[in-house]
Amino acid sequence: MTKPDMAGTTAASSARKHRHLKRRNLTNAALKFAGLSALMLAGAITLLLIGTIFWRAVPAFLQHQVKLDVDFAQAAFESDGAIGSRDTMIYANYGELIGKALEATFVQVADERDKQTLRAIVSPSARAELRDTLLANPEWIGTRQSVWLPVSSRVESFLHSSADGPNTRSLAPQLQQWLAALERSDATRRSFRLPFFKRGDSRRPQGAGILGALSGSVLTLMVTFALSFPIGLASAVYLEEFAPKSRWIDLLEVNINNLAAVPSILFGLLGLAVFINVFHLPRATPLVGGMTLALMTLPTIIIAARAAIAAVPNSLKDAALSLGASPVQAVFHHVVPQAIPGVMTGTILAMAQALGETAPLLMIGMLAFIVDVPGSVTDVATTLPAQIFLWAESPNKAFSQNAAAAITVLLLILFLLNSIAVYLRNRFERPI
Amino acid sequence: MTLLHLLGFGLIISGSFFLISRFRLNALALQQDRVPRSLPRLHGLYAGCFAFAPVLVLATLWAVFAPSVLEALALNTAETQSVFVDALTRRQFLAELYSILEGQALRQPDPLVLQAAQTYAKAKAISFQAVSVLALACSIAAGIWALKRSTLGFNAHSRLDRLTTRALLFCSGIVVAATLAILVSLLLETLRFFELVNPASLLGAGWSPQSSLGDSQGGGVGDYGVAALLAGTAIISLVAIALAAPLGLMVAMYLSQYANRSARRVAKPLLEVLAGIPTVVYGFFAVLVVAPALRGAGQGLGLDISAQSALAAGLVMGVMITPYVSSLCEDAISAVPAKIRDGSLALGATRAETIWRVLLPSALPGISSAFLLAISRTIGETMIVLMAAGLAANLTANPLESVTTVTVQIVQALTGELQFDSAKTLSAFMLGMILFILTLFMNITALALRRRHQRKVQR
Repeated sequence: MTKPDMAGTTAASSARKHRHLKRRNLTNAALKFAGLSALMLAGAITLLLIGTIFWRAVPAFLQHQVKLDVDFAQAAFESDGAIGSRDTMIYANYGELIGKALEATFVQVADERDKQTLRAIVSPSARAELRDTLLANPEWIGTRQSVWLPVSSRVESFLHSSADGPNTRSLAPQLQQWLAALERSDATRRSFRLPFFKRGDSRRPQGAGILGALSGSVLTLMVTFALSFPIGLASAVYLEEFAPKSRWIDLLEVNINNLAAVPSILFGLLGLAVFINVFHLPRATPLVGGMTLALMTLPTIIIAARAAIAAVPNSLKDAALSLGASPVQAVFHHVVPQAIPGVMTGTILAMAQALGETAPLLMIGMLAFIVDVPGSVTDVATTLPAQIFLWAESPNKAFSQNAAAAITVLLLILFLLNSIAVYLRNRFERPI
Repeated sequence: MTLLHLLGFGLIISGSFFLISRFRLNALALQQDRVPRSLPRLHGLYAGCFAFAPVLVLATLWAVFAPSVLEALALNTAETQSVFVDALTRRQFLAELYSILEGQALRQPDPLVLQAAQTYAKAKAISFQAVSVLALACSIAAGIWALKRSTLGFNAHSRLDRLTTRALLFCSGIVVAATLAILVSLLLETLRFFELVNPASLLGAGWSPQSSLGDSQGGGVGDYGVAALLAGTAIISLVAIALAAPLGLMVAMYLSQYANRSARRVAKPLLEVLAGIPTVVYGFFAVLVVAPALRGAGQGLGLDISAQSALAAGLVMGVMITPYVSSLCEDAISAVPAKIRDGSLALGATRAETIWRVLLPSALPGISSAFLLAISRTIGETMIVLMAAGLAANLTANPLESVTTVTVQIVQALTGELQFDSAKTLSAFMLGMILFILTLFMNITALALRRRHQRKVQR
């Protein structure tokens, strides 16, 4: 073997090695890039999801209003000689008042057919709003007041689409002229739709609100919490601190883990078969819904609570025991209080899960058109996700916008709950 | 008087026993000038617990067993017995009876049913009064017995400890009870379904449960071939897992091996947000965005994609389970001991090589368990398919067509005009049973796989 020959092979092999290394590093970079793009894709989908829904929700949160000079003439509130009693205010003909106010604004409209068209500017739900406003201000009777009233859904979608871009919605030409006139005199505005938060469901998308569904959700969650938190905590304490090592306890643990993975719809079937068909509890009520969801969230809470209890250092319990506390005292006076923030974190997350759950509630009938706001756990009610489902299934676009708005509210509440959980975790998760 | 009143009275009685026992012990201690072995408070609690226990037990027993006993009582007259030709008429009779009792009877009730309902209501009132009196008497007796036992030398403390432990055990038992209740209720209703429908008909081709009218009048009971539903469920699950498995695994790999601290700080909450979005929102998204987009894209490519295609539902479901898959995969990857990974890196392997040749093979059981759990979740998922997939059964392997799933049919059978005991309603429980068995099988396999993996890795 001669020297130059050897140098040649070394150079060749080093070049080969270099190429090889380059290829290996390239593969590495490619894998890293693939991982990053997967993450980016997930992020993009999240943004797309939340973005489209929020965008869709905007028209439901905002509404166009027109300013009208309504004449609350005393004659309209007179019955049996009494003027302005509560009954006369409730049963007065507000549609007529609004119609007259519109005709007063557009005095040039004389034709009867045109007058009917004119009345179509204002939403039918304006009557209820006008009544509520007057009930709050009874001194207005006999006076003339400027009131902002919501426009009808046809006008609303016309104005909305014209704000978005090219106008595709058709509206009677006279109506378009009148609206333009109102806009010129600054008698239109776009404002936040407060009634959306003050009303129950309605057949009309503009009159529909989420208060009924929201209170249904709150009542259901109260029942769920009252049942699943104490039972879950007690089971976790038992399993973590008192359970003997035995085959039965192992089986119990497997059972809990499996129950956590049982599809939620089966809990609905359980609720229907047991709570409603066997115990004859009232159907479609927060009571039954809460009991069903409590069973569903129980495994989640137990698993979280066990982790929180296991995280409390043994020294704490040992110290208590050595000072003469009984095992029950040591656990309940020292271990559990330390674990409570962790347990609460798990419970809040479980409540968030229960709040977003729909399928089991459909099984027990909490999917219904309910106008009244439920006041107790035995009233028939619906919940926020069920309400979203109902509205989303409607072919009417305005209801779909309501669904998007309700989703926005739901996501905000979930975000709030999760923030509280994260705060608790960070605040109390300190090394002892 | 209702159950709540009874419990309230029970609380009042046990509260008074708490106070009596406590002050009695204080007085005894003063009188005999001795320190009691346990604190007076604990004696009070002991007596209170004893006084409340009978009320709780009897009230629960009544709530559980009263309906069936009362039913038997109300129907056990000669006239009613003659009406029942089979088990079905008995249940219809009962359904009518309950609608009368709840004040929801739709039409003029049958006098026979009305009479039975009156018997039922009367028996219910009388038996409840009897149970209440018995419960309160037992409560007082138990309280007095506890009072008698609590002397100065009595170790109320350890007694209470034992009671507490038993109560805790009882609470853990509720989870088992829930599982058993699911199993038993599904089983019983499934058996009732098979009374009406021949089990062999499940193997048929079509799924078309009859409208709930007429099966008792000898009309057709409908077709219950589950093949189409299972196929639909399988297609949607496959689409979902085909999206979520690579995506979730890549994300997990990136987060556990490549990402620095700040990237993790952004990515983790993002995945948590994605995981926390309710399924009804995903369903809305599927209907609003994904299905129309797919349809538009399909038209561009000359494909006919149904508005309720399995593809749209599956893709959205894939997005839904991606955070679940990625977090489980991350757990599996990080369960691999660091020394194996570090050894590979120290020998000069790149990160990619370490991942492909070291981490993934040793994390494989954990990862497959993650995929299994994810598939089980897609099978049981309801809202997305309810909103985005079809209602009509369609035996096909083409994801561009509209299919229906087991969960959708469960909801279909139980919403709308509800008539208990029709084959259609009961079919929901039969489908629930299938769903339960399928998911239970997958979950047990996945959990066993994960457990074995963890044990192997830790060694």
